[in-house]
Amino acid sequence: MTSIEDRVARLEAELVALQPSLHERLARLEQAEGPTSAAAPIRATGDGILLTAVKGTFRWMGAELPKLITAIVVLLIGWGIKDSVDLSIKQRQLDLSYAKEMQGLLLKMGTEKEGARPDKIELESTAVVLASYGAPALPALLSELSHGDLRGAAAVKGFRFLALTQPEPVCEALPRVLSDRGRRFEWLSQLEVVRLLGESDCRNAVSALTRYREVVAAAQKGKTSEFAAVVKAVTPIEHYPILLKAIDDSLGMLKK
Amino acid sequence: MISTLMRNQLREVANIAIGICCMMGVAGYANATIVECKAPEDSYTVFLSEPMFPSTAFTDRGQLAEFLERLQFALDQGRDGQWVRSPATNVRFVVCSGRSPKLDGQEFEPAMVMRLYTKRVLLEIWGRLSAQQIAEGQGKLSAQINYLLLPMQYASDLKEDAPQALQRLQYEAATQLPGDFVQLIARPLDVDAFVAAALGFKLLREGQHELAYGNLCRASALLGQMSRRKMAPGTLENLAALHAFVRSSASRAITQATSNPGYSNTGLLRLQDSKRPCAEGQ
Repeated sequence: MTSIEDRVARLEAELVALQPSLHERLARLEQAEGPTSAAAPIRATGDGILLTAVKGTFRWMGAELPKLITAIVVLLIGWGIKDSVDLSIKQRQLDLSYAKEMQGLLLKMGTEKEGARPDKIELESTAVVLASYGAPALPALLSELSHGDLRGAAAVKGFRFLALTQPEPVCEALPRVLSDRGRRFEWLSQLEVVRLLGESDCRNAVSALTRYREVVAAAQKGKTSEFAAVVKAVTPIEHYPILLKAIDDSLGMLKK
Repeated sequence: MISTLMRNQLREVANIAIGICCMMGVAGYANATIVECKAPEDSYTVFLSEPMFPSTAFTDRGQLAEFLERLQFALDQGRDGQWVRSPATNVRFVVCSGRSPKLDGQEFEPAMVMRLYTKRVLLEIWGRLSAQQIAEGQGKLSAQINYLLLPMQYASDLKEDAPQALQRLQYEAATQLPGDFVQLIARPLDVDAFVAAALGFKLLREGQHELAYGNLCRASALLGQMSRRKMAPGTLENLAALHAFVRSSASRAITQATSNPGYSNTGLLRLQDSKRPCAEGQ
């Protein structure tokens, strides 16, 4: 007998001598897997098919896969923002048509007709109609306010009516009149703006009003340089108490 | 997104509707014609606004314009005004074409008065003219003229003590037709009295006490002369109140000046008695 034959014979003898026997051990293992042992093969098969298909597709696409993913992401984003872009475009078109119509109203306020200047009633009516265009009318009303005469007074009326329906853009725009380094506004126009800010409950204007009050109070004491930097012409000293009272009244309304 | 656009559009329609309704409401004062009248920046100003007139007074606006130009010349350059003059207190008369306030002056709201006051407009003059034929070639011209003293109106709007700011005087004259309204209205005594009163009070508010005092006392003298004319009781009463106010303002000018530490010890007002502010007879 060869050594290999001896070894095989020895192995067979050991297997026969196993307690429990080899067959018993295999049977126990099969029992331990239990009922899953029948279903698991089916589930593993479904998932396996999907996974296999996906993997196969990715493998097939190769270098084109990142491009596909990018295209899908762009498609999703574009679909998501399409409506808002449409809305924005339509809004801009509306603003442009408003601007053309408002131009006619502005010409009406600023020019003579048949040798006659527009009168107070006409100016106020036009300003109110201008205000009905909403926030797009703000630059036009500010321009009229800078005139400081009957046109400025009419613009104040326009602002009042605009603030009734759209206070937020009014409250955002008006505080800048009090700190205009271009010196386009008279102190009287600034006085009207101070009153408007209080009446329209522009709480965001508290800091602008506080700063303006400091400037006016300093001017009343003779330090007019800061006030002169933001107003068309420095007011005579007799008017400072009126300005300060108006500012205090508005701040009182806004801090309630 | 679509509903947001519709909401925006509905809001725009609502705004336009509100605007139209407000325009209709605001247009209720359509009879008054207040147009912008530019005041010179380097002087005090008197506005000569258009009076109301029937066709018996002027046949067209051209005649009205000619009348106003002649009136402006007569008041502005054709004489020496009787108010106290100085280089810093030049007073100009300006024609305001197209500006025709209502006879009761109700357009002069506080905001408008404040704007005029800050532009150094002292007085606005307007009214109503009429001409009546009495006999062949003979007629009667009459005018109701309003003088709005803007500094007094401004003080009244601020709830300060102030007299009736709108003084209304009636003038009549028999004349050969067509007559001359400039001669009827350009009454130096009346105009200068009101200019001096308005200028004096404005100067007082500006802190120019000596010039204020001079004009207020001049106004007191002129108003005293006016009060001796035969006028309607209401007119006389208003003039008397204005006269009393002018004198009390002159007294204030003395008091404010003499109590100011910065006022010169040799200032003219230190020689005046605040209890008898203007010279005897004024």
